[in-house]
Amino acid sequence: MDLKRVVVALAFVMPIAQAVAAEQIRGAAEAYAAGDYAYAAMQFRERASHSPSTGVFHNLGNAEWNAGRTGPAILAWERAQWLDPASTNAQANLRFGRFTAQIEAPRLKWFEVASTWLPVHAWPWIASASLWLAVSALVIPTVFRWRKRDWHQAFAAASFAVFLATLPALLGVHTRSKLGVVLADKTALRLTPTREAQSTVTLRAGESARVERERGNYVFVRINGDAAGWVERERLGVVAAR
Amino acid sequence: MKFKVQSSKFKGSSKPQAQNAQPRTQGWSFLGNLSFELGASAAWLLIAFLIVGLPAAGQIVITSSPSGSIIINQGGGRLIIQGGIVIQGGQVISGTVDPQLLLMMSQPPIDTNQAVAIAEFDPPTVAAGTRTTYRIVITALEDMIELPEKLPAPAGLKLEAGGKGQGLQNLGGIIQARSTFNFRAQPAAPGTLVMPAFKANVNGRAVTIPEARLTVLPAGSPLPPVPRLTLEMPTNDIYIGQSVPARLVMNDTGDNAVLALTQAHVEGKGLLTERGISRMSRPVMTRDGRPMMPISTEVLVTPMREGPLVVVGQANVVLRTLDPNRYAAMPGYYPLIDTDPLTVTVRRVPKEGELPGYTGAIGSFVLEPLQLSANTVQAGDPVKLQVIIRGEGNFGRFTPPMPAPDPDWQVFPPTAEASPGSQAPGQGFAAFTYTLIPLSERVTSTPLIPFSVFDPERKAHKRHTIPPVNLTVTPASGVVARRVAEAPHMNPDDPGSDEKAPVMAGLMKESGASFGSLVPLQQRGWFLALQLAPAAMLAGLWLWDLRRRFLAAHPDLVRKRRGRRALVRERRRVRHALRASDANRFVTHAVRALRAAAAPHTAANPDALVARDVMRELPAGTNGTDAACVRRLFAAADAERITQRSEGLSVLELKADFERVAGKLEERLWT
Repeated sequence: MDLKRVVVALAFVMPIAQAVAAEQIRGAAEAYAAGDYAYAAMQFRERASHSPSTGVFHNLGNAEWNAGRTGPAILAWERAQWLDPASTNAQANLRFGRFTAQIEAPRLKWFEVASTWLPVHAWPWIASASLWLAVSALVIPTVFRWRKRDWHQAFAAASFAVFLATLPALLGVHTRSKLGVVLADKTALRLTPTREAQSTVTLRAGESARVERERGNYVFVRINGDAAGWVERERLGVVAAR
Repeated sequence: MKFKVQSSKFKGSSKPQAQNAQPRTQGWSFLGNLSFELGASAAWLLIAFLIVGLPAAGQIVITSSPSGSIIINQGGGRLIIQGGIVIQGGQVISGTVDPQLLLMMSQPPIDTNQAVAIAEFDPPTVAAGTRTTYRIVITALEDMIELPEKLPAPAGLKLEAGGKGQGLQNLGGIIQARSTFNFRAQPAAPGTLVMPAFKANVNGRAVTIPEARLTVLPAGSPLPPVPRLTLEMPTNDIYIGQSVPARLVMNDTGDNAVLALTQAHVEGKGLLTERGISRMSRPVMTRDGRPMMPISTEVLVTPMREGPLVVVGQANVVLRTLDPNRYAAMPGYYPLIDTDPLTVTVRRVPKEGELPGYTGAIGSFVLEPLQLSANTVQAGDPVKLQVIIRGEGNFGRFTPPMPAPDPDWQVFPPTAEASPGSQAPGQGFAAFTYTLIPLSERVTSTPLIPFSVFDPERKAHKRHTIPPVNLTVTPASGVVARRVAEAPHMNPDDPGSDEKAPVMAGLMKESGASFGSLVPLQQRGWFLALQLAPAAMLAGLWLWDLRRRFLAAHPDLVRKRRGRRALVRERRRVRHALRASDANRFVTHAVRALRAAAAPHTAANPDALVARDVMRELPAGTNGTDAACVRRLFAAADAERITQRSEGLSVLELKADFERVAGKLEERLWT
């Protein structure tokens, strides 16, 4: 009885939710076309908070950029590229934004570059599937006393090789998830996580930083392997935010 | 070193210290802007001083004669400067004069011998409670005049300081300075108010300010219209550094008494009026329902301070008729009039949303197509990039933006073709020319120049980035070629080093696949928990295989387990038969139970066992009752199976014995 109610409710609620989402995106696009970038950004931001997707983040970045908010724009494009590294639109806009604002792109290590070859959520699935396939290829024939075949071994070896190949990418995804973007211009990089701390460097909106640790309302970041210090949490947007 | 100036009449000086008719001596600092302070005469003094040389000792006394000669007494020597010629010892020692000094000398002096003062109410007749202007005009420089701190206003007349200004009028061979002090006056009651004469200090002398009379009619009395100046400018949402248009409107009384406005400007602490930028017109306007053609003058003002500012508009008005008697001593005088004070609120340009390349530009601008002096240039040769910005804004108040440092470019600060400080209200453009030198043949376009402005209409910063212009750079030779070769190579991985200038992609129509979160899967708990499923499945398979192998190696365990299951099943049926008092079924299932319990120990088929086999499996020390029970049950079963004859209900008495024997056999199945 309860299951039936749930199914009926989902059958009615899901189309309504989809219609609301479509209407919200359409309204945001119309506001964008009319030049009301702040409203368009607000709508895209709300949609992205409910169902993150490459297109919504890309459009959010465009609206933020035209509204004059460089930091949030680059963060949104980074998130679009995070979900889909093959998105040429996100790549182009990131390149455009950084070029226009004279901001350096984050320097990625080799395994981080490898992690951008596929969508960020693809690597764990590939790693999981390849690992268990390799283990299964070894265990199941033995358990069921199948006659040993060469392809059993080859399949297990190939699956395990794929699993090993995904490990650097998984590490890259993990380290890239610590990347952040400075949201506000003239953000102070402080020596200690306090408001009265001495400022060593002033960061520009849109600059990339890696979060190394957190304490209270501050995060310790490193700028492209160079300067490091504490910044206020709300002045930094982490790409893989929870 | 100091020297003294002794002068009976120091013509040409613009400072009050030189205006005294009495000979006086005053010390001057030699170093500093001496020539600027003393004007042309001082410049001559300096020349003569340099000609004479720097006397090491003795005091130098400089005097000027009524004939205009300047006499320098230094020790035993005497130097006379007259008519641009320097004479020493009766001989002309220098006849060469700098043309600039000659030009300075040719300027007529400012007349400071006579200080004449005029005082009047404008208009002289007003209704009670309305405003009029009490104006004092003195033929002296403003800095030389000291008015009493509090004017002797009659009772019933409220005076407030208004505008003040200074003008110079060339009267032919002499310049007359005229300083005007306006006071806003407001009579309270009808009658005739007399502003008494009082003394003002003009360059140390007491000058009498004559009395002035004001006729005050009862409130509401009809009066002829008088020219009045009003200030119109935005009072809110103006920003520091913004060029704000202010309009001074002089209403026409209908008799064309007002011909023009001159020296229109807006006064206020923290406000800067763009001098020389004004536009006068006579637009047709409607005031109080009546069409009129006032004289309107637009000026540009720039607030320089945050907060509320009190501003007053001022202008000299050229009237068709002016009282010839009152202004007899001041021919060509244009009365200074001012507006009621206006309070404007000035804000700072918000830092929020400030974009790269903001250099103080405020307004609405449009970037015209860029012009490059050449499309092909050799590395090391300069190329000029002209940027023209049009629109409305503070063209004279912002600096041209500079591109970010680029190892492939040498960029010189831009120059303005026309002075950016000069701006006509209707023109509205600024042109900058950048001189760029490509240091590498790798570059294919001019550097991007970040530029942004603050739009006061939208209250937001706006991007006007100066885009790159395509350019072909050919390899250099010689020294430049070496420098190009030594230039750091750009990182090929850097997207900014790509040849093509990046462009922004538009909105995406498709949202694409949605994800629950941006957090990678390997950091989510449910994904890690999901990995337990295949692990558990494979582990289960492995354990199952282990047990299967174990049981294959120990078949007695399998038989005992089967025996236990069969024993349990048959004993349940025995209990059913007992409840139904069915002797045949009791015997049949009791025998089956005994066979099932005994069979695993002999690895035999249970149906093949006889009573002896079962009795052999009974534990040691079993009494004869158990064996008798077994024999009787098997006998009864055989009798029923072979002769179809039942023993009757008497066999049911073996119930307790059967349970005991079955229990003993079951115990053996667990060992």
